[in-house]
Amino acid sequence: MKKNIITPVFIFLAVILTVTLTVTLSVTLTVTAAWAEGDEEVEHPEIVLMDKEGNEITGPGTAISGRTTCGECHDADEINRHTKHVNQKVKVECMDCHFKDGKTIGDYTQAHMMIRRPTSQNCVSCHGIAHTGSEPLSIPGDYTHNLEYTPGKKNYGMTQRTGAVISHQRISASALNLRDKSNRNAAWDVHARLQMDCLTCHNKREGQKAFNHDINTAACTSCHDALAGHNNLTYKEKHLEVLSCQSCHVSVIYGPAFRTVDRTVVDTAGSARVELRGVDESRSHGTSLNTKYYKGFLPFLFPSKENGGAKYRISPFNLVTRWYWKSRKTDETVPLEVVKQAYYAPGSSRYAGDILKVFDKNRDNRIDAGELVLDSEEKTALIAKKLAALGVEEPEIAGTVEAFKIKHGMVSASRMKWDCSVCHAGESKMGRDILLTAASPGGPKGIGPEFSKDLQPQIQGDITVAPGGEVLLKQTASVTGHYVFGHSRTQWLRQLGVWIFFLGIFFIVVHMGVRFVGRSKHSAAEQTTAPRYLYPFFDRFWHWLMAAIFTLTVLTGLEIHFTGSFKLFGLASAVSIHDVLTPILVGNVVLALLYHFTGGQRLKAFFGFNGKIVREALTRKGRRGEQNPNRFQRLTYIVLLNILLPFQVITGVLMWAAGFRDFAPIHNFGSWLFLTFLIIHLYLTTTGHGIFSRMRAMITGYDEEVVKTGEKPDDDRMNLADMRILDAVGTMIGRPGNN
Amino acid sequence: METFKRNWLTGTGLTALIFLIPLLLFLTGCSENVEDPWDTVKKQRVHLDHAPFFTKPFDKPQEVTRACLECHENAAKGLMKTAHWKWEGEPVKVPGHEKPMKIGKKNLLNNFCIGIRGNWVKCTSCHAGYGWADDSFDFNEEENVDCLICHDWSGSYAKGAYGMPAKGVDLLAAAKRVGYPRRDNCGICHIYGGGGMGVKHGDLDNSLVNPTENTDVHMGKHNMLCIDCHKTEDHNITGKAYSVSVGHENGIDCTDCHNAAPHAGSRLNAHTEAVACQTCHISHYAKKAPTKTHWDWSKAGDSEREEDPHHYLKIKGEFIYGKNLVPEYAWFNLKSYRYILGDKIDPEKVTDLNKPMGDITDKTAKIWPFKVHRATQPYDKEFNYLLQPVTAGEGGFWHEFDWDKAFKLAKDIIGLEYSGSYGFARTDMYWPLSHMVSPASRALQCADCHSEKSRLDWKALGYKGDPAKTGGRVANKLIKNGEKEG
Repeated sequence: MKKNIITPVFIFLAVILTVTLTVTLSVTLTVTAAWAEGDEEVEHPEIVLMDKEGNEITGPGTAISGRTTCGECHDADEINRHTKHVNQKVKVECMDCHFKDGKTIGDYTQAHMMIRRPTSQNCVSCHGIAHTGSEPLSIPGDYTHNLEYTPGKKNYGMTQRTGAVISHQRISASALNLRDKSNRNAAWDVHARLQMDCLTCHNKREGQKAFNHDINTAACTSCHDALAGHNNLTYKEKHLEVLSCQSCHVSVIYGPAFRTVDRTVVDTAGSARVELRGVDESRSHGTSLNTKYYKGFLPFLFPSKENGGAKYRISPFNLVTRWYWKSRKTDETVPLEVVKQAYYAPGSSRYAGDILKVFDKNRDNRIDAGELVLDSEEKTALIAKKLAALGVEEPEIAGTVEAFKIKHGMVSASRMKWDCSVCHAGESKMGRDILLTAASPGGPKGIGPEFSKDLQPQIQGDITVAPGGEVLLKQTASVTGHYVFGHSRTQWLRQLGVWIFFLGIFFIVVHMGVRFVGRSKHSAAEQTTAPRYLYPFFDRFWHWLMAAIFTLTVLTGLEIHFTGSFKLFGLASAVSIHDVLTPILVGNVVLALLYHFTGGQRLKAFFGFNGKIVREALTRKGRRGEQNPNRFQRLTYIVLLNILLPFQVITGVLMWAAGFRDFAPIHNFGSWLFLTFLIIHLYLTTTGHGIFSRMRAMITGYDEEVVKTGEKPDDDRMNLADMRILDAVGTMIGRPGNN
Repeated sequence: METFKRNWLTGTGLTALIFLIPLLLFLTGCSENVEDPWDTVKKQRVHLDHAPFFTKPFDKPQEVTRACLECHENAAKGLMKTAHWKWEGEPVKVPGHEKPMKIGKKNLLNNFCIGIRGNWVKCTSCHAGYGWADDSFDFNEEENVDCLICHDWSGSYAKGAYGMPAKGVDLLAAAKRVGYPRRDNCGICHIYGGGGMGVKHGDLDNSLVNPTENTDVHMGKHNMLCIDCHKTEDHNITGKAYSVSVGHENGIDCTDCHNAAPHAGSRLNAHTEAVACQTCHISHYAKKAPTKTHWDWSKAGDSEREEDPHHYLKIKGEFIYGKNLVPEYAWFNLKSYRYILGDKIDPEKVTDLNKPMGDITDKTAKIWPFKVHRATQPYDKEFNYLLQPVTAGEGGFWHEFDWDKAFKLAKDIIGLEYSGSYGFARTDMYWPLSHMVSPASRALQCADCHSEKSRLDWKALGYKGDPAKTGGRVANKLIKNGEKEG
């Protein structure tokens, strides 16, 4: 029967299929799992080493080819097609990453052929300095030799460009000669400290499903939720929006980052002259990089585009200046090999006689580090002549400044001792003058380098060359497009404010002079005084409360503006206090408003504006013998409370709540005016009949009023109410009687 | 007036609100204050100059004690309740033994000089009393309390046979210069215990009298005294030595002064669940001076061998010393097992004299650092228990180099049967480390335990592998005694 045959076949097929699927799946899963954990090595089957042609390698000295060796089982061509590590310039072999020590040529032992997930040790054979052992970290002797990527040679690009050293070790435990070494207890790299290796982050981009040899960098946010932390950071959202994580989490860099690579000269080892950032040559000994004195350097902050996005964020950079010979005619860079020929005696790596004669100033028969720089016309001319003889058409020296984003060497928050003034101060991390080269080539006058054409970050500044050959970048804007509180200054507005402040002082001085000259006329007149109750208790309470708030606001405002110059509360606290005071101020005004309602005053009296007072204040009419607080005082009060206070509150709120940081200079200008009027107000309290009588009145409530002989004290009740309102809100009112 | 009052009250209330609301809004989320460890450290008062009180020379040390007691009436009474005098504790239940028993230096064996009974002449030179020469010593005689050994600041006082002052000690000079115990006072016994400097405790040696910051951060950087942590009341000095006790009563914890979660990072604080503070903060022990790690009694008595206090002594046998050592690590819940005189041993195996209790399943246990002292010491081949020889005492091994006689002599003193045939068995003693705390900057780092070169043997500790990769004991649900509690 048909049916009887089909069923067993079907069952048989189903069983086969299930078994196959299960086996395949479980094998795949176990392999993936072990791979992902990175803990236990995957047992790789034995391989046959093959050369480019696919012939088995039997002896030492033949290069292994990944394409043929690994290509036996893996799709090596496909991998090579989409990895960044294989292209025109870079040709990385499978074994470079997957063999234990990345060895591809030589005599192999079983130990080398430990095929595994790449570790940091594999990556740094091309990228820089990494260190996993417990012995003190030191800088390899060939560190300055390979200045450009050379296949098959040890390269240190990442460390040379940015100073990044990937190590779990504490900086203090290294072999380097560091400033304040015993206190440098952070690890070189916090992620390395936590036993992460390169591939932990450089595995796949966010959203990408699996690792596919296209080595990408995962964003910090793929592991970290920045908004969840950072609670001690004032305005954390703003900070996180404009700054890359590294801007803060890369602190002082102690790694041997380059400042200058001067390829116009070569030493006898065939290397160009190198200047290192953060190294104090005057305190360094010997030529070894390990005995140099590392002061460390703070990276330079510039806005730049993030990973191809359109948005600019501030990130830390190192600037490296490269000097080189080029042909003016063909605009081609002279290769170092040709430069070497110009310097060396033919067929050797010793300096030629004429070179020695010109360069060796101290006649010790060798060219010392200080002598090996083209700091005179004679030296430059000699090399140019020799290069011309070697076939370089119209040789000239050129310099290029390149910027390298610093991404490694991060420290954890607990290891950071950031103070706000690191950025938010007049002299801070931002907008510093940057030393590009300590000794530039091109004769005694030196020459200025140019920014590289594909410069990534936005830098605004002028490159200046000092007579000694020192090349500086003087930044003209702190950080392009950002107003950094306490650091950025809108000079003209600030100066205007300061001038107005001094004008106020000038007014006070002139007024004092006039008072001093005119004092005799009035003192002669017989005066009697009578106490008069001017200010009710709540008025006085309100006044002093406002006075206290103003004082605090002004002080904290000054601290925010002049961070670093003096310290009262610390910037973070000052900002908080300043912010807290604003609602209190506004609230206090509202309170006064309520007081006026309960006190029965009309709304108009509160807000009413009457030009009369201004007129009275500005004319001299009735000034002498004025029994009420004089009109200047009223005017300052009006300006202070009706104009400047709302102005400051509004600009402040715009900055604080609405995020319009551009109002900062205006707010700053307003505060200068505020300060000016506050001082005038203070001064005018002394213009009563006695110097402290008005001040006393504001404390006790009673003023002693001058009464002309025979006259009764003024008992104008309306005037008294007027005063109360005046002092309560300081608002301009007309006499209710006049309405 | 009513209106005025009402206005005034409303005004005050509203003003208060205006201040409080922004303050509450802005200032919440401020970090809590961390307790200051210094709050718990008692400031030692300047000790009164005692020189004018004592003018006549003392003939006997007991006279000094009597002179002290004239003013400090209760001093001896307080001290006599403590282990420094009794050399034994209150009755405790020792694991594996039915009845509670009083244990201490007085009656326990160790694997250094083995036991004090019959050897009082040497051993009791560290007793805070005078004249403990045999079991008949009167522990109620106040005048036998030795005040000077802890309180002498002259630096000239020393003890000799049976705890009596050493020959030539000027008692008057010592009595004139007394004060609170300093590091060198405690050190006389606790640094030199076991017959030499740094022998017993791997974490206590002469370098702690004037230590550097890196040797011990408390005593070096902060110049703290022993009694700053070993807080003392009525002569009862806190602290517990697991060589002579099995529990943590009267003990000290780092958390007596420090916050239980003192690190800035939560990852480190999570470690405190399973790792003792000491584990990371005592990176090495015997940092400056070597400590004894191995002692082989079986080699003793060889007149042929060249003597050298760090390798071989005829009276004691063969030693190994080590310096700047990496501790051994084990789970420890602050309780320990204890070998009691007469307990059976397996001579083929290593006998742990005071094995720390606790394992990965024990919620209260943490990974601790230990100095482990490994010895080979005599046992009775027939009865299969450890023997205590008379060594320093009259007719003992150190005088006549006759083991057989040494055990027979001991039998009469201790009452432990001796069959006449002895051998040597291996024993281990665990010394938890709490001193030589490195500054935070020299504490262990991640890589010390979580890397290929880990100093912890994770599998031996009960983990599947490195817990940074395979998860800790909570994640793997390894804790057993915690489940009952919820």
